[in-house]
Amino acid sequence: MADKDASPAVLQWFKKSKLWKSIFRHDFSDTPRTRLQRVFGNVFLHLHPVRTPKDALKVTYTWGMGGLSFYVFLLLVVTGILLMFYYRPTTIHAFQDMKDLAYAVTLGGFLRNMHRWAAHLMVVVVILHMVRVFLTGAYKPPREYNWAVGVILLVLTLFLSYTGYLLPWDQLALWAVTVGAQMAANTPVIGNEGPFRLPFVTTSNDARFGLIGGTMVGDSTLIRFYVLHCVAVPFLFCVFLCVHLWRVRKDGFSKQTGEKVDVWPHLVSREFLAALLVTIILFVWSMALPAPLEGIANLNVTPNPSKAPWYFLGLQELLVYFDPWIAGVALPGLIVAGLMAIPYVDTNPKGIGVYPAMGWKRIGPLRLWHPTERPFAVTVFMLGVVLWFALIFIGYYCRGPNWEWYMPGELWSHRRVTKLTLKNLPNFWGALLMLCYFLEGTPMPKAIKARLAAARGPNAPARISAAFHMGLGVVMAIALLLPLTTAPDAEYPLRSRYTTLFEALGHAPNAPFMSWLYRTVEALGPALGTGLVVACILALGGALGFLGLKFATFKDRMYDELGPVKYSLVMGLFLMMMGVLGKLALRLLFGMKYLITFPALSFNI
Amino acid sequence: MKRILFLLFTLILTGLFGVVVWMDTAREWTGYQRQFFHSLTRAERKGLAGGIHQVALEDLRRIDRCTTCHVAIDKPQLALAEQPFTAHPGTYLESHPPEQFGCTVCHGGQGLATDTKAAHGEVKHWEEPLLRGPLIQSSCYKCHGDVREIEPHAPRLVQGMTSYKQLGCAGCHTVNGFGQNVSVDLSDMGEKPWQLLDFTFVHGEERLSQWVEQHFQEPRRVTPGFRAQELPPGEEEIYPTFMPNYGLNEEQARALTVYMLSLKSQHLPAAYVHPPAPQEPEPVYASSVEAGKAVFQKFGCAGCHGLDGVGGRRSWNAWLGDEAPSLVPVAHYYDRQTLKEFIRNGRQPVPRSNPARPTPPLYMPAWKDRIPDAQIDQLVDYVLSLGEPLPGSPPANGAPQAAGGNP
Amino acid sequence: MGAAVSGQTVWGQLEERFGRRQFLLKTGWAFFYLFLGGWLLSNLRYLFPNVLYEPTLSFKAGHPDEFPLGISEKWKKAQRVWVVRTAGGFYCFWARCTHLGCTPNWFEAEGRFKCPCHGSNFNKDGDVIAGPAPKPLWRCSVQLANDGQLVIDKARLENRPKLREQGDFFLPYQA
Repeated sequence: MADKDASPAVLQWFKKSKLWKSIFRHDFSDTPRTRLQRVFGNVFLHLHPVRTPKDALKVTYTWGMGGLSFYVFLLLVVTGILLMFYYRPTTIHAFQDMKDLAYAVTLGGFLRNMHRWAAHLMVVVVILHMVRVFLTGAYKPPREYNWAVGVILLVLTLFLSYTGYLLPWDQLALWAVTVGAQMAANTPVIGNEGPFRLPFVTTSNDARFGLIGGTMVGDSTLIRFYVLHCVAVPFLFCVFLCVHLWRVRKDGFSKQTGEKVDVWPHLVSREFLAALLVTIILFVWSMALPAPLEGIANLNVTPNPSKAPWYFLGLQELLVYFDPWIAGVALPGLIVAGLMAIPYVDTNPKGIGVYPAMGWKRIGPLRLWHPTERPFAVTVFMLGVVLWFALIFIGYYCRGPNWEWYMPGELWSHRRVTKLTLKNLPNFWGALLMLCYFLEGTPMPKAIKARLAAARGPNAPARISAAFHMGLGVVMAIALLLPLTTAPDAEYPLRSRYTTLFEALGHAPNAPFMSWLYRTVEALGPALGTGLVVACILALGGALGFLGLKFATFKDRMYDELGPVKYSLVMGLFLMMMGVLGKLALRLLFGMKYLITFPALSFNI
Repeated sequence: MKRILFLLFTLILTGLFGVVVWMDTAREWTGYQRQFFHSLTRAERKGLAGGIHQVALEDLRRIDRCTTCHVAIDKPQLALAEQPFTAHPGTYLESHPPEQFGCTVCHGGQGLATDTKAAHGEVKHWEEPLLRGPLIQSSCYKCHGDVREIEPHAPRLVQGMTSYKQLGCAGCHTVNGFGQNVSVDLSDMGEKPWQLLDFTFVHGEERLSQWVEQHFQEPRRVTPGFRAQELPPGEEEIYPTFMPNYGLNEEQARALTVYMLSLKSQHLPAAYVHPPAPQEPEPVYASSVEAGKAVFQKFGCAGCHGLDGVGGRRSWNAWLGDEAPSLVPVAHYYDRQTLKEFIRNGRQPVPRSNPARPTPPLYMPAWKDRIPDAQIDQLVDYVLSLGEPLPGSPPANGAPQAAGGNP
Repeated sequence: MGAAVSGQTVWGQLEERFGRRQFLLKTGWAFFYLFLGGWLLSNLRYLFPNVLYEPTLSFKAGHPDEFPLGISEKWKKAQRVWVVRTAGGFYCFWARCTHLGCTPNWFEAEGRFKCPCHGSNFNKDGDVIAGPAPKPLWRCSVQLANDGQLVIDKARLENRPKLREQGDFFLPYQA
């Protein structure tokens, strides 16, 4: 530093000693040489490159989220280690130790608050980091592998949160873990209650048993989750973290524009400031809000409503619409697999290191603000993120006692009696509906188009495509509405043409579309009513077909670009995501429970 | 710019850290202890330690830090007049030394907490609030199985138990294996989780004691059920509670509440428990009718049929058009054998002939497994003695009348 | 900062001394280390518990007449003390070797306490007669409570000759 001479003589002498020089290999003057030495001469900083492009430092580009997730992880490790000094993972002591931390340990309550809120913050930061990396195309070659490692780190973050959630041994903990563990029991094949259960799988040897170390959540679960939370998962996390950081260093940063500047001090100082800011935020947060702690865990009483932590509420909300093996096992598995697959199926080389340009597009009467670059990738990914947070919103703000729907701000009432009626679609129609839905993804490859055009004239491919999509749409509408509204037996007298299913759903408050249809049909009489049902089928079919048709040319182009394997992967995942939305709509508008159901196999969709 | 931010951030952080330390140091109890120690002379202060005081009771699985603020609770010579510095009233601490009993085992509250509100358990997520007023008497029953021993100390508890017997609650409810199963088992009523109760129509705070007390006074206000118009179309109405309104005044309701809160299934270590005195021999009655009256009272027949069987309680059955089951006219319709069989087998709820009217929820339970046969005979004698047979009615030993049993 | 009143001059002086940028940086680092030091200290304080789940150091040991003359091992198991009754009264040893904290054994025949860890020997007065122990056994305070029971307090210890035979550490008692 400039005023080196001003430091006391003793210090100057000490800085010349062998001891000092053996630890600090360079002096601290601000020269280009020492700037480099600081980074590569320091084990903590050497994960950074020595020099980096100036644009890569911009907060507007990185949001600082990668470095911050690492910092929050460090904070969690530090506070976690401290908390371990006062924690005993037994059902007798765990809850008492929480109370001790809050009431009898100096700064114990504050440290616990900080650990809890930092865990929440870490989930947010990691998700934002993922969104940022996606939007700037930073997962594209050569960084595909690192994206997959990042997804693993996201999963580990959530698993750390989940395992940590049990440790306070209060009602929140017990029930979040009970529900989470029950999902494991619904794993296909190896879960006691899952579909296609193997014959020898019972409650005392299935996946759930392995997860919680017993048939119910208790002492063995607590020690198991304790070890997972404090040792096993952090260890795995560190391994993947090393790989992740190492790959960032080796693959280079995604932003490569702008002149190169020294990482010390330009990047290091920014990281330091960001860490300070996050620490301030966590301090304020932990001072203002104590970490939640409910009554001691009690297997006989489930809180009403019993809500998972917010980051799992999307999952919990999905569990309302799907069987546990789908919502708790298959969908999360698909989400993770789908996220990991992104860099391998997205072959578009454009968009690395820049945010996608946005523009206005007119579709019919709508003006949409949409990405003009990588439109499909960005739209689908952001749709997924928004859908996930919409589910979280519903779970957090719109669910009250007995998991009933309340508007945000509406007063909860334990006296609300809403008898919900749900019906299944007959298997044949349900399977037909799903088949047609997935067939909507079928593209028309170039070669076939050419042959059709040659054989039947230049308009033939377009006409056939239109007929195909509209046909599928109408079949879907028939498969949905026909079995609901009319009995298969034509011999029935006219009045009872409408099935008991129709009647039941017509009276159900949770099937608004069906009750509207039922009431209108009742009012119109049999002849007009039948006409209305037909009109509804046509309208719905037309709408679904039109949607398919709208994207036909896009599908065809995508197929030609990606080839059959990648295309079916992308389209399959996309249709499944939209299918989740579709099932939500079927449940909320039509009062539909299952499309396909084989109770004997525990296989229901 | 970065340097300004750096200075600003470190400044804020240092300030925040100061506030955190201050918040952690300035606990409520430190203020109380300071106040208390200021009131003492130097000599009095000798041997008194500051900081968090606690009694850890391994057997009871309780840790009570109450004495952190209630510093003078076992030191009457140092106590002040105002809370939390008073001494414990009475001589209870001599018979229940705090180092052996702690505080919360009798008083309720959250022993581990050191903030007033949390420590008194008057917060969400704590099921054992401080038992204020006479409610504390409900704790005595845990150990003192024979409450007559402690009647001067727990008058409300004894009153509540007496009322329970007199009103005939055992006719519908079971406590520790004695009673009928027409309605809920009350054996662990004192531990009922609040969140299983509906507080919509309960005035005041959401406490178990509030719910129980108000339910005693006006059962149908607290548990009104659902009328058809409150339900989605097509749903049948849900009855209010069929517990009759016994017209209890506040004092009686509170006494019964004290008894209800004392009913807990938890087991205390044997060293703490005073076993109840051995059962006294059955008193000898002058006549079979007298003995029958005792049976009538013991098994809670009065719960529905009223004290002395003369006037029925207005239960929800009466609301539905069924009459209150008074026993005075019984002698007109039944002979001994029919009546005995009726008591032995009871009458399970039967759907009414008019399907528009819902099935009455209350019914006569079967007593054959609960009352010994000889006592049923005495009971029959008693019930038949309540009314004189009409002159024209069939002889007492004749065949039962066809209309009998269908009021 | 705090020098708002005479801000101009102080500010000017500081600027002159360090330069403005250097001043901001140095003050920033000063606060940072203040925070860091406080944080580390507070974490150190965190590690010192405010409540203990140990048996209390002071306990009632029953009536004096329950003890025979000589060394009583009655309370060794529960409270780790030997209660010693002499013709003149009571004193009490803490059963903890003054060398490294092991529990010595009492050998009646030899009249010695012998520590199994490093071979320290103590006589009936608690004085070291063999082995590496540097000082005599600690004696606990013994007093008579209002109800006539002995009260032994392990929080108050004494082992200096003379001092240990008077005051709270020796209870004169005649049967």
